[in-house]
Amino acid sequence: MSYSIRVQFLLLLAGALSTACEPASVTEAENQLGRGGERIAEYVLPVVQDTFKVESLLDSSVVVVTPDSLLGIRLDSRSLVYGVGFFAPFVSFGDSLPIVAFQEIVQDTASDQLDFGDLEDVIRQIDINDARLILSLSNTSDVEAILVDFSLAAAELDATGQLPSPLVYEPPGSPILIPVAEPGTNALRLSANSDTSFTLQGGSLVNLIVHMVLDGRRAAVVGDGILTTDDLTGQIDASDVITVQTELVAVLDFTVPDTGLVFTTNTTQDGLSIKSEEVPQLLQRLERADVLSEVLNSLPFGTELEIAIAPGDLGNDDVFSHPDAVVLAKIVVDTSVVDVSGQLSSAQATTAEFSLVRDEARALLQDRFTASIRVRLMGAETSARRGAVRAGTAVAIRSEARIRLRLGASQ
Amino acid sequence: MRRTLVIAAVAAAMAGGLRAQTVPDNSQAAKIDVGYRRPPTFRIDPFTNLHVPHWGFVLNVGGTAANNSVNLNDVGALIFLSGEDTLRWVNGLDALGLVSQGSGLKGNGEAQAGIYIGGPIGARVRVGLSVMGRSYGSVLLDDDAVALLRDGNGSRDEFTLGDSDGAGLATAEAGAHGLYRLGPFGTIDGVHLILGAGVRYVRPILYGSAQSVLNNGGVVRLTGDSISATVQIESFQTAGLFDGDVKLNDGGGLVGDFLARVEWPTSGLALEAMIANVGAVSIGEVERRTATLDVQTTNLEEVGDVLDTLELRLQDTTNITVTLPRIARLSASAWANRILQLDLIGTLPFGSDFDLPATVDVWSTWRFIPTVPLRAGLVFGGHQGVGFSGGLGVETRNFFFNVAGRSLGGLFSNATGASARLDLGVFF
Repeated sequence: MSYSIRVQFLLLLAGALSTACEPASVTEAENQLGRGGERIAEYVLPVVQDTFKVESLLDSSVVVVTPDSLLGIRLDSRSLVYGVGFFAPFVSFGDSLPIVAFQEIVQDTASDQLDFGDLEDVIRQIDINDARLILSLSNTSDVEAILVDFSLAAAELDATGQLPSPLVYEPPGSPILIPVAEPGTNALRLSANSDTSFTLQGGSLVNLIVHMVLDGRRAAVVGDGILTTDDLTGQIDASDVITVQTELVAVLDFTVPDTGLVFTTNTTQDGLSIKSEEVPQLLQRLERADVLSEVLNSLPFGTELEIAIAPGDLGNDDVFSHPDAVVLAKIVVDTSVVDVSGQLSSAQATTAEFSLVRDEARALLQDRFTASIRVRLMGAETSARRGAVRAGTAVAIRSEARIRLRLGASQ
Repeated sequence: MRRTLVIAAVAAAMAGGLRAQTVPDNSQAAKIDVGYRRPPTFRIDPFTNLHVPHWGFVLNVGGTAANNSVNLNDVGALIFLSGEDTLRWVNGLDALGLVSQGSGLKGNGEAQAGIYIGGPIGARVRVGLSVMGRSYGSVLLDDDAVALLRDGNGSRDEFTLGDSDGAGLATAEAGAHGLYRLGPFGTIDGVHLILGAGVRYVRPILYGSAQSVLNNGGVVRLTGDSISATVQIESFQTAGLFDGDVKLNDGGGLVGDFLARVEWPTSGLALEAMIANVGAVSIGEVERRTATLDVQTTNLEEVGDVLDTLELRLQDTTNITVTLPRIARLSASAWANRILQLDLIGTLPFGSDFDLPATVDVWSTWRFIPTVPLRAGLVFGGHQGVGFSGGLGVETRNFFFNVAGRSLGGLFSNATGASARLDLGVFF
C-alpha cells in the first residue's frame, strides 16, 4: 500500500473518530476542554522598568548643565555688534570725551525659538528662580571703552521686531533692570583689543522674558547705557566694533504653587490585540489583575501620579474625561528631602499597588490604548516649595502586572 | 506486573477453571496451528505472518497512536469549536490543563501497511518476503515548557524546553525472513524450538525532527522585572516538507530481526523473545534548519516583535543517520482450558531516536469456534496508562482474516489513543 493511501486511511480513521466525538454545543465543547480541573494560572509580566530623566523631556539642543550641576535651558543667543568708528572724529580733536547713549536689542526671543519641550505646561505655571546671563564682550579698538550705567531690561517688540517708541521696559512702571558694572561702580571697562566674559544672575528678568514669550508676546532683552572712553591717545579705526554676545540660561530652579504643579502626558501603546469577540470570555476568566509599581523619585519635589487608560489612539486628548476611560490609580510619592536652596538631599522610594477587575482591563485587551499620566509636583516645606533640578535627576519606575486567570473546569 | 497477573488469573478462572499446561491431546491447543496462536500486535512484528503453515499472501494495514493528555472527546471539541469559529485562546489554555503536572505532553505513533508472501519449505523451514510501508513518530513537550502557559509564572520564573523533541519518519521497505523449527526434543510431545531471522532494506521517504540544541533546552526566565530567553532549536527535515514541494529523501539501510520461541505444542505453553528493527537508516539531502530566540528585555512588546520574526532558517543540507525504533518483545502464552488462551506480552524499546514507550499486553483468546477466535485484553504502560483491546479472527485453511483494535487510556471517546489492525490472507 502506498504512502499516500496509508495517510488517507489514517486521516479517514481520525476524521471518523473525531466526528463521532464532536459535542453538540459550544458550551459542551468548552466544558470538555476544561475537564482538566479548575485552576488559577498566574502570569507575572513586566510592564514598565524605566528611568525618566528630566533631560529626556527637553530638546537636547537646548539643555545645558550649569557649573553647579543644575539643569538649564539655553535660550537662543544673539550677538550685538556695535560700531565705534564714529568715535574717530572726536579722538582726532583730542580735547573732548565722546559720549553715546544707546538702547539696543541684545536678545530677541520669538516664541518659535523657545523650546521647553514637554515641560512647557510646567514652565507656564512656575516662576523661575535662577537664570544665568552670560555676557561676552569684545573690543577691537586700541581705545579702552567704558559702558556707563549699562543695564539689561526686557521690552516687548512690535510686529516687525523693532523696539517700540516710546520705549517701555517690562513690566511697565516697575521695570526689571539688571545692572552690568564692576563692583562698587556704575561702569564697565572694556580694555583695548580685549575679550571678556562674565555671568550675571538674572532669574527675574529671564522669568519675565519666558512668560512673555509663552504668552505669545515677542520679547527682547535690551541693553541700555552710555558708551564712552577716557582714553584720548588711542587710535580708533572706522571698522572697530564692540561686540556684546548674550546667552540666557533658564535654570530649572523654581518654586511650585501651593496647589502643586500639574502636567499630563499621554502615550499610546499596543494592547494585547485580543479579538473583540474573545474579550468577554477573557474578562470572565480574569479573576484579578494587580499592578505593582515601585517609584524612586529623585526630583526635589513630592509627586502624585494618576494613571488613566482608554481604548484607541487618543493623541493628546484628555483621557481622564474620556467616557471609556478607567482611572487606575493614584500613586503618591512622598516629598523628597531637599535643602533650603531646593536641591535634593535624599530621594524617596514608594511602592504602590492597584487592581483591575473585569471590565477595567478591557482597554488593555484591544489593539491600541492610550495611557495618560497626570503628574502633580508638590514642593517641600523645607525649601518653601522651591526645587532645583540637578542634571541626571530622574524618576525611576518599575511596574509589574500579576494577572490571575481562572482556567479549566466548567466556567 | 502483579496487577497484570491477577487480572489474567481472574479472567481465566471466570472461563471455567485454571488448568494451564494440563490440556489433553485432543485440546484446542493441539488443533490450532502455531501460526494462529500468536495474538495480533499493533507494533512492528516482521514474523507475524511467517508462522502460517501454508503458502499464500497476506495484506495488512494497521497503526497505533496515543498520547497522555488529550482524548477523542477533546479532539472533537477542538474540531467543533474551530468549525464554529469559536475557538478562543482561553480554550487553548483550558486544554493545557489536560497535561498533568510533571508529565509533559507525550505522544507516539506507528503505522504500517504492506503485503507478505511466503510459506513452508519442508516441515521445518518457513520463508517469507514482504514489502511494507511504515511510519514512526514521537513527540515530547517537556512539562517545564508546558508549565509556562499552563500554570503561569506566579510561583516560579524559570522555564526550559527540557527534553522536548519530536521526530517522524516514513519508510518503504522490502524484507526476507525465515523460521527454522527444531524438535520435538525428548518425546514426541516434547518442546519445539523455533529460531527466526530476517533482514529488511529500509529506504527513507519523509523525515522530520526537531530538538533543542542547548543543554537542558535553554532557559526562559520571566519575572516582573524582565524577560530573558535563550533558546535554540534545530530541525532536520525532508526538503519541502512544509511548503508542498516535497523532494523525497534518498539513502537507506539494512535492519535485522531475530526471534526465538519455545513451544510445548500439546499443552499450549510457549515462550518467545523477539528483537526487531536492529539497524539504522541513512537519510540523504536533509535540510538542517535552526531558530534562535535570544532576547533580554524589560519590554513585553519587544518579545512580541522578536517572536514575530522567529523562524526556522535553512542552514545547509546534510546526511544523517537515524536509529529505528528497536524493540525487544518478550511473550508467554498458555491455555487456561479448552477454549481460552492467555498471552502476556511485554514490549520494550531500546536505543532508538524515537521516544516510544514500553507496554505490557494481556490477551485472552476465546475459541468457542476453533477457527473464529474472539479476543479481549488489556494493555498497561505506554503514555496512556490502561487500555482495552479486542479482536475477531477467521482462520481457515485457505482464508485468514483478522481485525483488532485498542482503546487506550479510556474507552471509546474517552480514549487518549487508539490502535487498529487488519489482516487479510489467502493461502493455497
